[in-house]
Amino acid sequence: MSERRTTRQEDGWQYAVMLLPAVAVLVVLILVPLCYLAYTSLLEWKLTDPAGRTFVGGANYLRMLRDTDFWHALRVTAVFICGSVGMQIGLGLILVEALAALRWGATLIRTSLLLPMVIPPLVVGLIWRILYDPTAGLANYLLGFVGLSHPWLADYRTALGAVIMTDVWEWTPFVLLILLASYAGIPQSVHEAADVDGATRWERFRFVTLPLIRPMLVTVAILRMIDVIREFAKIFVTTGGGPGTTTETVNMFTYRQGFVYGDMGYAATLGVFMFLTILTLTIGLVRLERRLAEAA
Amino acid sequence: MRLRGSAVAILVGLLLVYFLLPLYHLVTMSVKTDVQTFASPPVWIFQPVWDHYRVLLRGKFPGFLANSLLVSAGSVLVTMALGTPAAFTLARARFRGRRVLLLAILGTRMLPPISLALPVFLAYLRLGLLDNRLGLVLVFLTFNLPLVVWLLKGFFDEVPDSLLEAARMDGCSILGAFVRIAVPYTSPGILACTILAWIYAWNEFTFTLILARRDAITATVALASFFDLEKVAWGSIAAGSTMTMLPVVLFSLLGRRFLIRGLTGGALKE
Repeated sequence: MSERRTTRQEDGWQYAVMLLPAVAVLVVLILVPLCYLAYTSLLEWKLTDPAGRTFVGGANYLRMLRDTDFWHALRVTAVFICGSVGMQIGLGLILVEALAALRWGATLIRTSLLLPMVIPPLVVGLIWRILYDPTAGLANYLLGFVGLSHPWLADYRTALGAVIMTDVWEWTPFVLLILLASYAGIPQSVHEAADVDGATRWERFRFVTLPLIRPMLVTVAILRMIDVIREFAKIFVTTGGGPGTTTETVNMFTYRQGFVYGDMGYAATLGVFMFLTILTLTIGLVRLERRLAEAA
Repeated sequence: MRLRGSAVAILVGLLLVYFLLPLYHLVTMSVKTDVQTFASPPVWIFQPVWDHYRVLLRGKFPGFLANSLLVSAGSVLVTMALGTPAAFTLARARFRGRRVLLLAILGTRMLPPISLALPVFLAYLRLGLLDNRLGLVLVFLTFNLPLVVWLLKGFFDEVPDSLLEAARMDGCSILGAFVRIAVPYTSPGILACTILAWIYAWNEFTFTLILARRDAITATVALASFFDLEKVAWGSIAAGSTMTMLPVVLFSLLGRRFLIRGLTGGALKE
């Protein structure tokens, strides 16, 4: 007994040596900066102001709540989320059954699907900036056949939609691959039973497939929401938030306050807001996962 | 049934065109002359010219690519060195606070970069680490270390207990069992995680844009600045983009099977 205890203590020491360096790095590089972010959000601190910083308490938070530009950015983010995540899941659902039935070329398809999501997001933005370009782009040439030639990124009415389409191109594969995996998890017999009962394809999809993959859909939707909230490179390189502020999400707005205007206090406040939003979504995701694990 | 078969074929064809045509357009643009680039209707058959690459490679771009390589390789090296033993411990050891730690690591993966970039920017300003490659290596750990610990824990969970116990019976320490048994057993997973972490580091944009100015900027940030020029150099943008995405495409084809798991499933499994 005593021998076993000493061995375990020795084990604990070895485990500590293996774990603690990584934990220490994460504390220094993540926990400390986050605390500093929260502290900075309580300061009036403009890098351009020689007077330096003064403690102002919650003033930046009040300013945020009264700032119409912030509410506008929040609305843009919401539209971006609904448009982008909605289209990705819609496309995913339309395509999953056709692709799951595919016998030939599955490898080719999956490899092609992988490409948009692994290449640098900035390059995705550049590709679409080129495609949308009125003179050099392919989009207008192809759309020209149906009379839809248009400066998509420069017109304030179409810019947000055009940027959303870049995200749809990049991440529909992600949704599709996850849906394919969860579709493959449905036993063949379930589908056969529905067919025997005389269900149409739509009924089988609506009443058999959809309920079975719904938990996975919610998970994917939350993951994609988190990514859209953090989206930066594609917006930066296609429109930079413009024209005006029509494509400025909260993330872009935070960047502008902090690194264009040098307003550290206000940008930190927005950073805290973004952190808390994503933290809430992540907790929701973890709860959902746990419920799923218990149900399984 | 025949009709359904051809409908699926058309759908799949459209899908391939949708996902691959934009990439094809970019790559061919990099080997077209400016006249061909702006031709309407587009030129589909042409003799490739390499002028855009020649111009780029004579300029500053190779330096930016070298920065990308140094920073991504450095950060992946540190990530794997710290992350592999940590993941093994989280998979094998039972201790108080383990669950909380796991959840914290999962949560860290989701952090918005801007919330970290701002305090890190202020700290680097004081420490003199702005526009410094070492500074970028450190900050890239914030997204790669949690990712690698999380994914590798999943791989170490799959190492059979009997294998590790047998090693302990033979007199191996925990560290010995980790180095001699667990690491070789999971080496395909470790290799795949290395590739995935490297791709994230190579593709990084937000932190680099904020923390690098001139000397340390990487290829992605350099590409974004090409539009600032008075006359947009489409050929250079296309050539630079192609060069920047080429290594990622090659590596992801190599690790294709795992990447699908890493990019999709890894986020979901606990």
